[in-house]
Amino acid sequence: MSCEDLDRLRSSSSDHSSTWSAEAKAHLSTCPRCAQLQESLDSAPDDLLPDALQRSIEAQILPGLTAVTPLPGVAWIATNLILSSIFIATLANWHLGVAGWRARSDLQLFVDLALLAVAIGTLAKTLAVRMMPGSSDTKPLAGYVAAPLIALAVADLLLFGYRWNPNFFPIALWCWEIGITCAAISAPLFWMILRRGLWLNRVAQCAATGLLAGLVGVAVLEIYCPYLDRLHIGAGHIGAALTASLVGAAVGAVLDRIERR
Amino acid sequence: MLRYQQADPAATTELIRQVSPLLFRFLLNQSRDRPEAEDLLQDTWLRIHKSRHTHRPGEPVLPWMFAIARHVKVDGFRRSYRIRSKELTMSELPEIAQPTTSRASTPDFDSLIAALPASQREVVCMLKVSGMSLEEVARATSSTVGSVKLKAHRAYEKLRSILRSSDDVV
Repeated sequence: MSCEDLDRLRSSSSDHSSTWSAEAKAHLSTCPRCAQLQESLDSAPDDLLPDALQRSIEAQILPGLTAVTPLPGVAWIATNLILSSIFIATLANWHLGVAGWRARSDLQLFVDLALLAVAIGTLAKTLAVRMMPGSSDTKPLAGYVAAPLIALAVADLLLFGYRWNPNFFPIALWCWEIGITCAAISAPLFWMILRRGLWLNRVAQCAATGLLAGLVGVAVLEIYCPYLDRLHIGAGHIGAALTASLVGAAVGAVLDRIERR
Repeated sequence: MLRYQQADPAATTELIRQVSPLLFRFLLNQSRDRPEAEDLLQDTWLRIHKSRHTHRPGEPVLPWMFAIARHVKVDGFRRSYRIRSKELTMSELPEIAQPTTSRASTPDFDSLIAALPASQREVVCMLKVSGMSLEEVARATSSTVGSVKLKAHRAYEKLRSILRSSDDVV
């Protein structure tokens, strides 16, 4: 066993060297450098906390001790987020109509709605998991925000054609406004569901919540809007989700700043 | 932890007694001095207490507590950095005391890991002092198990090279 092998062994386990294999122990007995390093690592002191500090912490916590209800399970919170999304989308399309559903081909409809369902489900689950710090989901939240936007943009490019419309800007702005309005209605509802969590990375988590609200807007637009132009869908529909996510990140940054004061 | 959430004073005292030394060692390894680590530990416990409802029953406790401690530590450093940057413009720079480690003997844990970058120091401290598993460290630091392994591996390589170079000097 080489010094590098021993480093690899140390890196893959937090066990004390007394529990290592005979081969590793044999290397330690022949290599003074590794033995010296291991001696230092094993000598990590653990009894340094002053009694006064311990008592002071107990005095701060024990007098105001009251029972609390732990966070509900991940499935319960994620289901609530998904049901809220479906409720808002249904209500909005009941009011706006379903011209987009009729105008789209089966493939376009299936890909769009399947992507949105997966994105909303995944975001709802990761937000529910991350309400608890030190959760099992350790992947960067930025990936969860970027992936749905990229997937929707790619689907838009592949599924829809381009045809210049002289009324492009007013129509795109109209759809963008509908998307943002749906996001603005969804966001407070999502906040109600997620508010008991402890958000250690507030900017990323607010951006993800904003995106979830924005995706509800996209779902409403995909069912409502009959303009099947890739530039229109990119700017008016996906642009609304991107805006909602950016607004969420900005709100998160402001909240973070207020909390740090 | 469940009994702490249910406001059982005996269980709470026991939890504080068991976990505080681990948190204190972690904060001491990350901070500049002992009084700062003591302040950070108190802040960490207040934060843990305020958000004790966010621990889901059945989930491991240490990653949850260390994730909060890590956040308090970063907040504390930002605050002290702001204060220090304002103070330094008006006063003279203090002379920094040189560490007094004996080269002939094995360096102690604290002086050895002080040479590591903060992210590697954090991982080594959680693994070796707090006895957390790789997965628990990954949860507490919001990174993957692979990334924790890589940081630990680089840290041990660096520590070996430090020991080698210190012996060469002698």
